[in-house]
This record gives sequence, C-alpha cells and structure tokens, in this order.
Amino acid sequence: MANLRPWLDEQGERFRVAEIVVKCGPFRAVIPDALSAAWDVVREEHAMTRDSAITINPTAITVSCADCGHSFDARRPVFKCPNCGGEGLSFSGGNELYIEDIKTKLEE
Amino acid sequence: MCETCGCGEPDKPEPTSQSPIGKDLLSNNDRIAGHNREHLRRIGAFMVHLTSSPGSGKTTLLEKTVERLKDKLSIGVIEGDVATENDADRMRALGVPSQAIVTDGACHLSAKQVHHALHHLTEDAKFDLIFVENVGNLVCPADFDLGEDYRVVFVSATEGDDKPEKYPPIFRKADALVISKTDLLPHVDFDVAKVKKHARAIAPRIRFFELSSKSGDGLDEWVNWLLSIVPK
Repeated sequence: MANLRPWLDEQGERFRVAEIVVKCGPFRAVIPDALSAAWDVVREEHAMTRDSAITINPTAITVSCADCGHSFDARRPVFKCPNCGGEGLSFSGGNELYIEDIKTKLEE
Repeated sequence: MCETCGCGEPDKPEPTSQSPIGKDLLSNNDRIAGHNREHLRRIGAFMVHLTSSPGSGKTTLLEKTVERLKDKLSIGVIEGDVATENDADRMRALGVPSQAIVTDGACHLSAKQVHHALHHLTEDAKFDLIFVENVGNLVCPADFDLGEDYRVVFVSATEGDDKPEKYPPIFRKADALVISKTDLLPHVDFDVAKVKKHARAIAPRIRFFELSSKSGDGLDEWVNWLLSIVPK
C-alpha cells in the first residue's frame, strides 16, 4: 500500500476517498487482514483517505483438466478434477494484485 | 551508494502523475528488482534465489555447493535472517564473501534490501554466481521478486509432502524445486511423486532435484545444473 503514498501526496485535498478496491488472486501470497492493516496505516496519513474503507475482491483461477477437457473456476488450486477425477490439471490466472477502483465522494 | 557506482537511485519512488488504478501493488519492488538485474548484468554476475520454510537445508546445501564449485566459479552469498548473522558466518567460515541482511522481524527479503546488499558485496569483488538465501518462510517471500535469474524452492523430506498444495504461490514462480534431506526418506512418509505432480501442476516448467547434503546423493546433478545456467 505504501506505493500509493506519492500519488496521494500529489492529490492534495482535491477529493475524499470513500473506498479503495483491491483485486487479489489466489497465486498472490496476500493475507487480507495484513493488507487491510497496511491500508489503515496509509489512510491515516492523508486527510482525503482518513475515512475510507478497503475492499479486497478475491479473483478466481481457471482450472482445466487435460483428461476430460472440463474447465472451471476455483478460489484456490485443486488437484483432482471434480468431473472425471483426473489429475492432469493446469491453472491460469490468479496472479492479480492491483487496485481495481478508487471510489471518491464530494467534500461534506 | 548508487551515486558512487552510477547505477541510479532505484530506492526513490517512481514519478506519480499516473493513476494507481490497475497497477500492481508491488510495482515499486518489481522496479527495484529489475534494477538489480541490470546491475547484475553490468557486473557480469548471475543470481540464484533460494527460498523455503525454516530448516529445510538451504544453508547446508549452500556449504556443500560452495565446496564443489569454489574452484570453478567465484561465488558470493547474501544471507537473509530475522535475527542473526549465523548463516552469513557459516559462509564466511568457508572463505565465501557474504553479506548479511538481518530483517529485525520482517518475514521476507525485498528487492530494496537485496539492492543494498549487492552493492556492499560487490564493492571490492567480482562474482560469477551470487546466491541470495531468503528468510525461512513459505508464504511471504513468494510475491517479492529480488532480481534473481532463477528461483529455487526447497521442500525437505521431514516437512511433509503436501507443501505445494498448501502453499501454492511460492511454487508458482519457482524455476526449480529441491527435495532435500532425501537420506531421511526411508524413515518418513513422504511421497516424492506426489510433491512433483502437484508442483508441476502449479508451475509446469519447474525442474526437480532430489538430494541429500548429508550423504551427497544428488549433489552432482545440482552443481552441474548451476554450472550450466551460469553464463560462461
């Protein structure tokens, strides 16, 4: 979250941040509570973010079975195909860790 | 430090007029990691990153590796540790230049820490091969690119054969998996084929080494691989 500091510094008092939305995939070693705690530290440093919340949206990985061709989304890697029981599975996606949206609100 | 070697100042944050939306949260670390690679190319060194849970045998394998390669390659080591320089001292005892990074509690190394260590290590010496041994942890090091050329993950026979299932991120970006302490396989329930199958599902191009630093089994294949990946 510290990566955001310079950008927040640049914004000054132009607007207030209501919510920051982070997309996070299962192949990233992120502990949601730790990410939230990191945001708690950063948001306190800036008036524009002081009342903001963080939302962490987990993404899925796409699992493909080489044995039966079944393809499905999963929240974490699985090693046995639920369709045929095969173990020839491969994974795609799930490497995301980025800010998906910054929701702002007008000054009160 | 970077002012004196002319490699720039990667520790400074990037210019930021761009919106952070869509940008990886670790982009700053990744930028410094890229700088570390540039630095390594400039000094003609190659870097291998070793990572695993504590006690899997990284340092012991490094000792055995250095013994076998010291006449063929110039080797330096960066040792990450939470609270001591024990591992760096073990390397120094073998005559290997070693730079310690004591994290004082942090559970992983960052590219920035390795950048500083690289400068200290390479200030007065030239290396063909630099090892960086991360803090023992199978979770947090996964996301931090250090600027290495190859990343090697360890699983020891005593840890259990479900590690790729339980800790997928660290295997996802691994180039090689060392299954260590194989001399203990007769005494523990550890299914080597299962570990390989699950690791390969997570990282299809991963290569495997089965070895024992104690018995020496598998070490030839390991050091020959290292010799093959270091540019001549």
